Amino acid sequence: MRNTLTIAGRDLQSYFVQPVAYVVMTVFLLLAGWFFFALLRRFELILEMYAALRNQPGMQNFNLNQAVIEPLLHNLAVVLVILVPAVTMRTFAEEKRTGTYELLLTSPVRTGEIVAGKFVAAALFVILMIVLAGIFPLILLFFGNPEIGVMFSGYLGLALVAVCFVAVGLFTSSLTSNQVIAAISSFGALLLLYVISWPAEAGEVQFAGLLRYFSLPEHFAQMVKGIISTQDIVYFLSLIAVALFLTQRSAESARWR
Amino acid sequence: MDAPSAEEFDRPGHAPSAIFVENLTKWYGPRQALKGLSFSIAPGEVVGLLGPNGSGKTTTLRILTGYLRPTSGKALVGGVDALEDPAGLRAQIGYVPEDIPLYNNMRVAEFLSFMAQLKGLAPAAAARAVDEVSERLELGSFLKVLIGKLSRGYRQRVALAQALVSDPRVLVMDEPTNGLDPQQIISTRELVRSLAGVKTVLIATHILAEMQKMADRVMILLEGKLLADHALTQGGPTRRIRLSVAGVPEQVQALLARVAGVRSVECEAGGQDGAATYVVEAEPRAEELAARLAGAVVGHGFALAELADVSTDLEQIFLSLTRRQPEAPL
Repeated sequence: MRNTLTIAGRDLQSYFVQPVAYVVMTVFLLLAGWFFFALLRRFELILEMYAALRNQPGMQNFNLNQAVIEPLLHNLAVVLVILVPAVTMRTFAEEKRTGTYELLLTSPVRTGEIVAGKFVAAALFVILMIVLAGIFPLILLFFGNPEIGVMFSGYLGLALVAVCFVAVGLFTSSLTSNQVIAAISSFGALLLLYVISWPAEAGEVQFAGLLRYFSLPEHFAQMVKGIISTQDIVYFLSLIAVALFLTQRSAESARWR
Repeated sequence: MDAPSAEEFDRPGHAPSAIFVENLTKWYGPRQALKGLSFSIAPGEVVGLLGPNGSGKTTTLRILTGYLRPTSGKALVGGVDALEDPAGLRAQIGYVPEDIPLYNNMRVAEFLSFMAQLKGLAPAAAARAVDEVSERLELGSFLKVLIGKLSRGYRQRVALAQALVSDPRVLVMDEPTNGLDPQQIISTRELVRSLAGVKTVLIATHILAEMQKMADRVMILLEGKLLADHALTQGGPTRRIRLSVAGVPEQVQALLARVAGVRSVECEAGGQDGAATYVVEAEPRAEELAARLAGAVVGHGFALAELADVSTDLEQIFLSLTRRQPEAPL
């Protein structure tokens, strides 16, 4: 455990001495702000429209959670598909390229502790980004009356999505010493998790249920709606566990090559 | 080679080697990098692992440091088996890899503290260890400098410091003098010599001259096989000079034995014109030995027919061994 924290501390510190982390964080928060502004403006226009039409039932069913928070969180999850690989690409690939991986593997630390340390650091970094993006629902709390529980569930879902992306990104980084290859293969894998259920949506196909189960947005959408079910939590935790297991095997395999 | 077998190694009362390797093999896919390597190194010895590029030196070091697993065979450090307890084996070793890989965006003190903690030291003990090792390696004024800003010589020193920070029993260095200037090479050599007897040091290099000055013993590796295991006296092997002298053998022998620096004189066989052949073994650093031997012989009225330096230095051993076999990339 101590080794894991030592490695996590070093990795976390290294994020903040590199420009990549600041660029990723800035881009994420700028896009989050832009989406928030656009969605809020749209919400305002629709409300004005309902008021002009004197559509009372429409106004009552229209709320901040559905009109602003839900689309905002879905948009941010897609942004994370692109940005998380930029965070995780260096984790193993950079160490392999510079040779510092040899220092880690020749110190009396288990490979699992190295993987866990790098995972904790990258996960904390993306969670920090999501926490900072939490400023937007806080603004809504001051000027509107959104449901706090639903917002919390949605942000928890986004954090779980981000941590899953980190685990997948670690795995692709552990396969190569080239950061670009690590980032592109991570991006491809994450996009696949996003679109894996498309054939099932286009019509009845074999294994449609299975494809839907593997589809990440299916589970995320439930949490965004405020439904925290065991099935979704198990999905996210299983994905993290499988990706970390594969990373550990991949990192360990360097010793046998 | 007088490496003890695994059975001897495990026998109660047998002084354990610091490093023990038996029938070690390593395959990289279809390519065999190590072909049944066996040797042992006693505690406190400084041993050089010599060989041309691609001879299997780095592979051997990587197995001994727990970075790579062997395909077969035994590798023990401090009695800990590389396959049975790899983390335990790694705890015994300080390792300076080739090309000095360091975290360029860390400061020297941060890096050394990080490495010390990875090697099992608690934060307070790590801070003390960093102070000690930086004082020993004269890094005190560089502790707050970014590693990426250091010169190659100081990077090497930082790499050495991280290897020594946990006070390991065994120090393993891969090409430690590569790219250093003469002054830095001398410092590295002095440091290694200061560790002799205290720590077991294994150095892989292809620079022969360095080993003659640093090591107690050299092992020559070629194409994954050990070709020679050669003990060195400090400063290099014994100097040997062959002379053909006409005269009474007992008198000539006694005369040669009196020359300063001479350790022994052997009369080998009769030469031409009544001259006998003598082989003189002398201190390796005996100055102008040939001139003094010739002066002694001629000064006492004996006829000197031939004088030749037949010292077998490390370079000659290395070249004669490696020349026999064609080089193959490993």
